[in-house]
Amino acid sequence: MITIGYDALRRPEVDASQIRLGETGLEELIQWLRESGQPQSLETLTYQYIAILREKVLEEKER
Amino acid sequence: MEKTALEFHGSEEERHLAEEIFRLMALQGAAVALDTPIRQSLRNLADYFCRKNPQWDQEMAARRIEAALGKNSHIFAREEREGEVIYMTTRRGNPAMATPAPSLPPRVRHPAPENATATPRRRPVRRPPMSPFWVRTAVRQMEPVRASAVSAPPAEPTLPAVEEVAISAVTVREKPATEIRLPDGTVIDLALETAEIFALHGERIGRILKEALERDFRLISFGDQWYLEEAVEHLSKGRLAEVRRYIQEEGVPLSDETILGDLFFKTPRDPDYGLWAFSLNARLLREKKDFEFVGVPGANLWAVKGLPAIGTRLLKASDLGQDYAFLLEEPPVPEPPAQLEHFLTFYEYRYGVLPYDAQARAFFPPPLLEEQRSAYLTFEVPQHYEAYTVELRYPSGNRGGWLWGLEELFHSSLVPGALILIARTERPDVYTLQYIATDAQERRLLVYDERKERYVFDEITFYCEVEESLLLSEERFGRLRNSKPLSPAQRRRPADVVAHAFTLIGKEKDGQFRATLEELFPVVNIERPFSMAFLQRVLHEVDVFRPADEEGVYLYIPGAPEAEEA
Repeated sequence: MITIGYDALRRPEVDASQIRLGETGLEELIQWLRESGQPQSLETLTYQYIAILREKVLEEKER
Repeated sequence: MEKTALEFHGSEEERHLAEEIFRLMALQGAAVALDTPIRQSLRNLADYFCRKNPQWDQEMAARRIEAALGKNSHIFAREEREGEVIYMTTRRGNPAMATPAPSLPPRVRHPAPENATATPRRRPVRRPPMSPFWVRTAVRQMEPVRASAVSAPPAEPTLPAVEEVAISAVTVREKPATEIRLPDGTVIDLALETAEIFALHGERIGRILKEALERDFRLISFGDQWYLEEAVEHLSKGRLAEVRRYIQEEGVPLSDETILGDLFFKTPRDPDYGLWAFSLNARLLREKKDFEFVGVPGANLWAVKGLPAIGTRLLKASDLGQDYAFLLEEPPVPEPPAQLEHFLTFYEYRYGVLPYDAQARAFFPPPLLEEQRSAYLTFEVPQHYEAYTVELRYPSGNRGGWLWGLEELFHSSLVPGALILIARTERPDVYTLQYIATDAQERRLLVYDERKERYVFDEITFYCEVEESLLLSEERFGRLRNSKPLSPAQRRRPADVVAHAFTLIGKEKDGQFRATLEELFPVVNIERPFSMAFLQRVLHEVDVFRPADEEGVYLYIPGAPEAEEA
């Protein structure tokens, strides 16, 4: 039997509307900080955090 | 749009109608397998064509659809359910069956091997036991689904209108949003370039991120720097005690660089120096009972209890903070000055202090840490080949900020009214203080006689450029001779200090005192600090004072009601 709008019901993994600043992508940021091997400034972390969020959303958009 | 290769029967009109219905139903089921039945009711189809052809009514549309689809029974199957006519087809254009045949080709259907007599024995698979936590989590997640399933009607759900189905079939793939809307209404579009987002919203995102990082126990910070707690160098209690003893022995706050070099044998050339410096600073910051950060960005200085005190002993820090409370209301200056120029007042000269006013706030570095109370700075005086350790007390609560530790310099080389120039050096915690040297000038200037507890005039020789209007000379302010200082309660009230200044230097006429702003400013600054703006505010806001007809001249009318005290 058909299921109307099946794809539409499948929520994207990271839709921007689901992003919670300070929660979404924080684990990736901490992982990046660990890999950087040295303390980082808040400015650098903010820039990196934006890059992580952006990547998550755009990947989903392109998928 | 997918072009159908099916053959439709009937008249031309019936063929067109059947083809259009097939196209709509194929769109409706665009996301399903080729042989999955797609259902649509005659009523919905008739509604759709009535809206499309206004001259048709429901009955006529139903009749025409029935006729058209009836002649194309090789494509559409018809069934009646509870009085409603339902047509079924598939994306392949076959009349749908209740149970579709497998759509996979026969070769992948795992046929039984030839000559097989019994079903093959399959070894039972031992599944690993699932953690009860995941079972409970899965059950919790299923509950809303189950609840909604229960609330759904048991019969076949109502089919949506054909037009709606067609639309939903076309827009079946939802485009994910790229915009974040913050609670304050700010919209951040993540489709922009990272640098652009950072430039537009970096400050706001950084603030939110900082709060999140502060909540995360895995991270440790010092100032603006963040790192993982697990990755920093460990410093034992013994090593911290060693650091404390070393600072006490030296008698002055020491930099992280000095501590690391002398106690840990680490130099800035070492590849792990940055991590060591961060580890030391972050660790000392946690030991608030023993260590106090007194540095500035770029020069991390640490003090311990028991170091020699900086600043005057004549006034308590709390009194100075209250005296300078008016500085908190000063608006910030638009641009930080390249160098700080300041004329000393009597109060500053006597106590060896400088105001942390709007100019100073823009000139000196801000506190590195939120809870930072003070910063130790070095003021080099190239004219004397001397250096002074100065403490910058940052404003806190309702108390203003100031710098102190310059008593000796002021008393040895300067007079009230002298112009001083403070400039930055290459080191963020070191400044130069200069004055404009002149030939010897001998004047009778106001001084405070500690023994007599009165203000007197004394012969003073000085060698610095002064602003004559600020110089408390005997020829100009002779009436101040033998005046007594105000009581601590009086000097706390700015209006009382200004009124006292009027009585000392003002011209009395009909019980009113008259004085110019230029005369009042150096005199009010004997007892407590005033900026020119603060003095003018007091003169305008307190009712006992009022401007005279002449510009820059004010009157003090004793006994007039004091509506509001500044």
